[in-house]
Amino acid sequence: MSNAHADWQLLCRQGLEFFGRVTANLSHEMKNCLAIMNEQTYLLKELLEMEAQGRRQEPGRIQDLAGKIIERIQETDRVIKRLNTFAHSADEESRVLEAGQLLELVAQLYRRLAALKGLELELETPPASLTLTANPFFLEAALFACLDAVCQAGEPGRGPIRLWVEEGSDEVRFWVGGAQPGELEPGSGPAPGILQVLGARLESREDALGLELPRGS
Amino acid sequence: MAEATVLIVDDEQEFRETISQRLQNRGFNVNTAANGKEALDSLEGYIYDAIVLDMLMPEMDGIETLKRIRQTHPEMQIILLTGHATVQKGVEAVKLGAMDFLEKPADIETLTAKIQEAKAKRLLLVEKQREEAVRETLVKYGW
Repeated sequence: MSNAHADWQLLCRQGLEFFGRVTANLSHEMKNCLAIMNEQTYLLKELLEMEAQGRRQEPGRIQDLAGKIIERIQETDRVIKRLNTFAHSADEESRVLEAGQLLELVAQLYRRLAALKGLELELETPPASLTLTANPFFLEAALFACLDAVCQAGEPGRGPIRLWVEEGSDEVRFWVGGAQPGELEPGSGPAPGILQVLGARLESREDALGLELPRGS
Repeated sequence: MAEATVLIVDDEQEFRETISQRLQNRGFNVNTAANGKEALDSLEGYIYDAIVLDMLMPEMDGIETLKRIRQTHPEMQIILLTGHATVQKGVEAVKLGAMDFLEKPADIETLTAKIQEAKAKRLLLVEKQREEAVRETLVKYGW
């Protein structure tokens, strides 16, 4: 097997692994929402049955419960929108992206995984005018890998994991910070194949990983 | 008398509150814990007929919590709840000492039946332990 073919296979596998992690995570979020709505809806039914049997409920309790179900439906809708946006990342090999929107999507996709490690994400949204041309799917994969590396570098439950963007004249730098200094594993972060596809360079500080990409293709 | 005393362990507050209410409506005594550590603290000096334990929780997940509970309270009956039940996960959970394994959203009638089953199992285990203690005493004193 030629090197190029092996590299291509590796890239496909890494892409699929990323895809699998994100979709599993989002489906779990949806399942959680459904489980809560299931309980709330059945409780609502039970309370209404009790009312019908003459067992008066606290005023506003049924309203309150109905309100919570509506909120959960809205939350589930947001999760599905995220899944849909992520799915459409694979539509094009390259497109003009708003750096802030992309970073926000990745933060939303990763938030639950961070929470499982007792970590919170803090996003510094760059201006809407900051754009770059890149492969959306692999850029999301690269940022995900940076988040993995930083979240694993240190104790659970420590201070927030920060995401921000720096603008250069010809380049954009995405940063993920909040690792415990000196804890970032050498070689952690996005796979070389993914960096190559993006034309990106990985930068490292004591507590952060950065991804530098050219602004235009 | 309450049907059974149950501890619900889940990081989602609304889930804990709602399922507690539904179980209370059916005559169960219910306590809740938001994570594995709270669950372990809750076991100090309190006897539960069953623990309903979420698999995926921050920091200490359901499997780790299960292992720790089994170390200190081997008679405790634990029902694991998961968003994605597979045969593999079910086998792993039972090998680690879970009584059973249910997928969310769990049907309340199935869950209450499992809790009753857990109560019966725990009482049987406690009874066996008592019998063993009596037997040892009889042997020790040659009665």
